[in-house]
Amino acid sequence: MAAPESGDGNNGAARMVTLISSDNTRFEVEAAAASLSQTLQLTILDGGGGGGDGIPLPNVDSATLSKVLEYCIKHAPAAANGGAPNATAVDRAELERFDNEFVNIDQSVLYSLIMAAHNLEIEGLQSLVAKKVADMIKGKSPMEIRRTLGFPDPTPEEQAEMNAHMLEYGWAYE
Amino acid sequence: MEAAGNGRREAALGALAVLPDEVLCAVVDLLPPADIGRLACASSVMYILCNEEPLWMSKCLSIGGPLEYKGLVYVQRIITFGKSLVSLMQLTKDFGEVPFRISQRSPQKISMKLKDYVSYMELQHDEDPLYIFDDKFGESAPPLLEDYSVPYLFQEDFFGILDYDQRPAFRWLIIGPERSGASWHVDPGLTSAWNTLLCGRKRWAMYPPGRVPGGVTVHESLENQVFSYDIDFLSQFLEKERDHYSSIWSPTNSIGQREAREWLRRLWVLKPELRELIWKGACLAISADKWYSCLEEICACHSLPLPTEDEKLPVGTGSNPVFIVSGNVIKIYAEGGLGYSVHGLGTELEFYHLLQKIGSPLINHIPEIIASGFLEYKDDNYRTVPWDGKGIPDVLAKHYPLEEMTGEVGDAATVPPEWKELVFTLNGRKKNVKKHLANWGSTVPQILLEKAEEYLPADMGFLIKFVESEKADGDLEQMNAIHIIDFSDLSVGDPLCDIIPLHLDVFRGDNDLLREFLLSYQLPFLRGESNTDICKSLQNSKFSRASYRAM
Repeated sequence: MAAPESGDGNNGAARMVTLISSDNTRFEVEAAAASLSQTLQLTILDGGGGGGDGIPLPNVDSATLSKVLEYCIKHAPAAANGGAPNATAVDRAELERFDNEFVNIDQSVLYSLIMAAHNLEIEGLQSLVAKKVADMIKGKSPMEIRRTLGFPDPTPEEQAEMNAHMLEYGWAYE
Repeated sequence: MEAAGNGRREAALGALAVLPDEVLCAVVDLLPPADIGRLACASSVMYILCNEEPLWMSKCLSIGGPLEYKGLVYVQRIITFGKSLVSLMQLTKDFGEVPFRISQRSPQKISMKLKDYVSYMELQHDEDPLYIFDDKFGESAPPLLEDYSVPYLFQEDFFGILDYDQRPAFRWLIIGPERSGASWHVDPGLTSAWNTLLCGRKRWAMYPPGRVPGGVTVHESLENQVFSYDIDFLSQFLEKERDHYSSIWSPTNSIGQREAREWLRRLWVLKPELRELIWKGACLAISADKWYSCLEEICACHSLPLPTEDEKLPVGTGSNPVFIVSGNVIKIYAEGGLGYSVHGLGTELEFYHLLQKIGSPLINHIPEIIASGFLEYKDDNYRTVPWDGKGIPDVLAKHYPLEEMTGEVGDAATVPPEWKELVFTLNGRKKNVKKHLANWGSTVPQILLEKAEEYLPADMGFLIKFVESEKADGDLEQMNAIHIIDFSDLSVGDPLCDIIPLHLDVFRGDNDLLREFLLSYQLPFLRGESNTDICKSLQNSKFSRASYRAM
């Protein structure tokens, strides 16, 4: 499978590293992009992942990894600028649009992405997906939250417990 | 167990169960309070995650402004302000409505009314509790300023050249429960400061300049320093050759003489290159120069070799400065003043004498006494006056004529009329003391019964000492008793009375210990605020006095 396009890349000789997903798909990606992951950063600094070696990621499948890398490639240039203090408003708006679009995905994909961001310690992605889940919760009643997040129906016992909690949190319903 | 736990998560969270708790907590952290409240009602596992105390603490802090911690208000800690004893309850009464600043963890200025803070302090279980850290207490509660004075060493006020409104923060009031406090830092103002402990305990750890504590990483930039921690920070306690200083600071263990001595000695040995600096510090902190002059005199007088450079500082953490000079031990009795020191020396000499007399094999394990005596300071010089521990040494009698102990003090003429009955009763009881103790049951060994009388003064009036007030001489109404007599030991009566000496002698007045002790007998600890009615009826009565309160 081909590696995702890495944009044009203003540095023609950018160092590349290879990441190997749990289902043995190899992804070749710029070291700068992969280094957004704290977990990978040290290995890459040590010269790992280059040549034919590749870094195995047994916890991330290829579908999720390609999604993760899509995020990293998009965000790598801004991150290289140290959080992009001199980025233009247009650049920032573009990143924001990308982010919104990026998490507009199926719930199961979102959860896999959360796990991957967590395991790979990609800070920006972690907060992006956490914010997405938070947005799914905001402004909803407990029943709606349960439906949205796919919580199983409570047993009658649990329901009684839940009712007690609702009394306790009465203030949360105006 | 674990399987059951996981099963519960799945049943309550469905697909979301794949996410670890910390990820879920990060999500909850992003929600406004009302949403957290509703989320808590959506699933039993969410209910648990939404009820974390640190979560709500950070929610409150991020909102900023005045903070109120809802709950019961009850306090029993005692704070000493200067010489006066003020309970935190009293402080809360006087300043309960005054907002104090709270240690900052967010850019917002957080303040809390003292009464709210106190209730928070009592109820919280936080790992790293908020504490009052207020540089404006003098402005918001001016009477507090009158409760302390700056020690003479620090009275020079360099900020005095600035206009008042230009002054940087220069005085702080700090109040906090267990576990609260600052982490490693270099004083941001790079100033010298003095601290005083009003009550409770505080652990200090101080390192020499440039030395980074074990497990701490310093990221230094020109602007600021960031300290981060390593999970291995506990390794610092394994450092054998440590050159830092760590001590619990409490009313019975002030940072000073003992620990400072040990630390300085370590530095002296480990860092010869710093000796000039250490000596200066040692002179200020533990009067090293004074003890060294004493040492020189003692060595000269007894023809001992003079201390080498390495031996100039005292060793150990005992109550008195002890030096080791060429294999000899020189101990200078100083703690507790002259009377106490003489007693200490006398007892120790008596002990050696006794070992000698009975030919105890213990004698082989203790140092042999070469000489003992007093150092008399006269005309800027120390002079040695030998004393073997027997009789009253001349030098002492000359400078401090001792009162004859028997019969003189507390004779009938100086006992105010209202105390006479008491002294009479006590004298009566003294006569019966042997019988009295025997009736107590088998708890007192016979040998002690025999000796009991020896331990009591000839005239029990001796226990009460009166000072005449300056105003009215001879007016008995104006005389004050300056000793408190603790009668509970004398009687077989209400065991409750025994709580007083227990509290004062054994627990050293520490309310927490007393509380734990009472709890072990399932007895409640009378709390002022939670017994408002009792409290009101007690006000202005004799029951509000310290001794009654102790009971």
